[in-house]
Amino acid sequence: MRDTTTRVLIAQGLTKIYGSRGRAVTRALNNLSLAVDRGEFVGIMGPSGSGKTTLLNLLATIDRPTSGTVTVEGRDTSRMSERELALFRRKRLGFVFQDFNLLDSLTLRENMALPLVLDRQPPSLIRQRVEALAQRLGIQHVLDRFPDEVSGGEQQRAAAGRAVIHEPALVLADEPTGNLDSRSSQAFMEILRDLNESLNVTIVMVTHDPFAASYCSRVLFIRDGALYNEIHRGDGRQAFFQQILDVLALLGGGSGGH
Amino acid sequence: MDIKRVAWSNLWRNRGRYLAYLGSAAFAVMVYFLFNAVVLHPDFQSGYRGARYAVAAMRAGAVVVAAFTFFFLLFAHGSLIRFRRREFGLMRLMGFTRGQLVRLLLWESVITAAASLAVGSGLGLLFARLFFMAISVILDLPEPIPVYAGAPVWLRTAGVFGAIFAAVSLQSIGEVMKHSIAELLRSRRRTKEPPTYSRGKAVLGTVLLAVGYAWAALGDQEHMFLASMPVTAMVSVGTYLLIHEGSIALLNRLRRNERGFYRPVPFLHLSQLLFKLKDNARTLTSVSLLVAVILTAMGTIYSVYALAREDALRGQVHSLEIARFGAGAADLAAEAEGFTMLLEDQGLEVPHHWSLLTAWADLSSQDLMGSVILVPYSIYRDMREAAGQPALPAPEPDDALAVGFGPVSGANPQPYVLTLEDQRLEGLAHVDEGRSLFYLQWALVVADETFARLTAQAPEDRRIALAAWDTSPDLGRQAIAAHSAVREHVDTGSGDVFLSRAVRYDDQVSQWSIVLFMAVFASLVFFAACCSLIYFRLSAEIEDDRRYYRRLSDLGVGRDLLRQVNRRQLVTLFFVPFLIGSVHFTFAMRALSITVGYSVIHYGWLMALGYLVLYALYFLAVQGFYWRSLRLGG
Repeated sequence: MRDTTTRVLIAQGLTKIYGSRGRAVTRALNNLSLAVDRGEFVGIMGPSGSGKTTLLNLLATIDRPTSGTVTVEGRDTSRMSERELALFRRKRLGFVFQDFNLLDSLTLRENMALPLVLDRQPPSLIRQRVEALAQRLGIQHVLDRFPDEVSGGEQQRAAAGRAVIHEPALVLADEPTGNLDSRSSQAFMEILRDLNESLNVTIVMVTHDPFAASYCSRVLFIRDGALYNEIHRGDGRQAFFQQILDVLALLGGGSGGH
Repeated sequence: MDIKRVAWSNLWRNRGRYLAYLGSAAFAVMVYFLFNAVVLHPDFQSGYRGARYAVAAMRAGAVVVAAFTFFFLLFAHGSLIRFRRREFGLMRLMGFTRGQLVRLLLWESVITAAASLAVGSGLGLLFARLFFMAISVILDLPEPIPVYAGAPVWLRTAGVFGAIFAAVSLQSIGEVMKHSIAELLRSRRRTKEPPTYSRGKAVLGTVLLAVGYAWAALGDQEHMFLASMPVTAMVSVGTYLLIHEGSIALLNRLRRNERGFYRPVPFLHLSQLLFKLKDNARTLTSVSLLVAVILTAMGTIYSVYALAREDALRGQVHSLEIARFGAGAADLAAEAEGFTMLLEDQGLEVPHHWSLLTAWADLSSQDLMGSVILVPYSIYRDMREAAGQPALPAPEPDDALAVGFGPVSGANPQPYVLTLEDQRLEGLAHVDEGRSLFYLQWALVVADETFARLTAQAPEDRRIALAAWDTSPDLGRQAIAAHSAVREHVDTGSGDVFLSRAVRYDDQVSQWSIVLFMAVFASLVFFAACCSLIYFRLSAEIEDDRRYYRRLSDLGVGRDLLRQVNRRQLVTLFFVPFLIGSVHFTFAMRALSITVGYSVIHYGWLMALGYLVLYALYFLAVQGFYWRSLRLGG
């Protein structure tokens, strides 16, 4: 049963320790908690090594915390088996990766259709949804091309399409603009915002790019595996962008580029 | 670090890729070693029974194995080196001179050659005892042949394979040297082109295959042998075009069918298949053709073996026959009585024995033309009775029964003229389509009185004496011993003919068994090559596949579905070429049936089934191994 409250994601006391007997131990996350409401667009920023990626992996359920819980739509993911988790990821989560992670063997249309195909939806419904979404993403003219044949921006937009087509509870984006030039980055962020605002898609995005983060409604900053600060967007993106830069300056250690 | 150490560590780092290459090379060395252990065996030179066949078969097998291995290793090593181009580019970039790179490649070749030779010859030595024991059993020798693996065997194996490895290494050095550093570095960054195809080529492929098949299936006996070359060429080219172009067309079609395609397994399986097709086409074609070659060669040899055995059983009318021509013919009848006793002394039963002094005559009629032996009706009837076959009624004094000619197209009976020197007989000949009476096939059966009259006046040079025995048992060691005892008393040097079904059968069986035995080993070398081709393809793909399955796994695709998709991929890569090869082979066997005038397809299929089992075992092993190598985690 789907949780009807507005809280989509609750992470409680997440701790992740890497390393094992006899080896140096790294505490990547330290008792970190956060909550995301339905329809929110949350950014996560922090210097390299701050634990951003670890956090995202835990939220994405592709890694398990040493302690703490991740609850999505009221379901505690730490109690699910591998098989249940796979099914849960497929049905309730959407992913956008830095390197797009499209399957080279599928056209953009097929890549977008993948979650619905895995869900055994009827072909007519799939076609309808893919085409409507492609229109919104502005890639309807390249739908039947393969990833290698289109630009990075178009690939990332198709990836966004794949992430939202099955109406997941939560979309997780990992440095989605990391491999895009500034013009494509901007176009892509406009699209993410549009998905967030018009379709009420809930998005959690890890980024080191303050410009991309300025599209969020809220930005969390983490440092040394723990929450450092949090800012909400007020009026205007430009002002928010400036705020983000200010916090990053305080945070120090660079914004975690490559 | 010196060059030799770099060579070692290079090979060690690439060991996964080199495994199949070294494995098939070592296997070829082993088979070559064993074949030559027979060819160069001193005892075989002096001659066991059947040794001549064994030596000839093994010598031919060794040549085939060496030649095939040469081409295969050239191809296999070429693809390994192409795969490592980037690595060589990096070495040049880091300051390796051309000379150093050549020395490095030479060292690598020396190491791989030494390893293959050592492992192959070692295995050869290990299996030599079994190999010679098997040959002793096949040749039915009273004592097993002593194992031989003298210096000449080692020298020849090392020499021939050393030369092969040297040639292979020169070729790969040339391959690396002809590219600039930039080209070497660039070569790995390939992007796969979207799968497109040419309708013209697909149609051409279909036409070539269809014509080749039709020719093989419908050709006539006379021209089949000549046709085999163009048919083989057409089918080979057709296979490549059809795999390359035709399957793209087919898969594209399947992809457009939304209802069938938009389901999890076909969606992932078909799209991957199409995506990899350009890369896979060459492997699929080579494996298909190799499978066809292996099956056809083995099917042919097995068919010949089976036919020879059957021919030895059916081709000879009696268990034992002796014929004597000319002046001494009259004495045979008396000697034959003695032979009967001799056979019985040796423990055989002799339910039937015939002795006949007769003569040659010239027959001419509409369909029957040539020299025939004259046979009295009483003996004809007696023989038919002994064999449990119907006999035609006795002919009128001037008429006759023509036996051993098989079916005739003209009238039955038909008028004939028989001449024996100045004697002449005219009448009607009734054709008996049953089997022959003696090993001399054509016979004219006349009434006993007519026979007596005609043969009484036959001149000496027209005379012929025939003696025939049906013995029990008529095959096996006892029969061979008894028949051979009779043979001691027959002077084949002066023109007597001696025919023993037991001896002939045994000869045929051991002659062809040894050929079959050799061929199985040689075919295993081809088979190993086939398996390594698939292995090469898989090891080239594994990085891409790992990434592909990981991505799907991250997106929440369950392991069960991934496993299912992966299994289908491998089943396609393994069994589609086997299926295509089997179809080729079926048509080849059909052509062979036409050539030999006898259906041999069932022998071929029996053989193919054996290889399928072997192949399926390889598939199961590789499938499990590949899945584990993808390391998708638990």
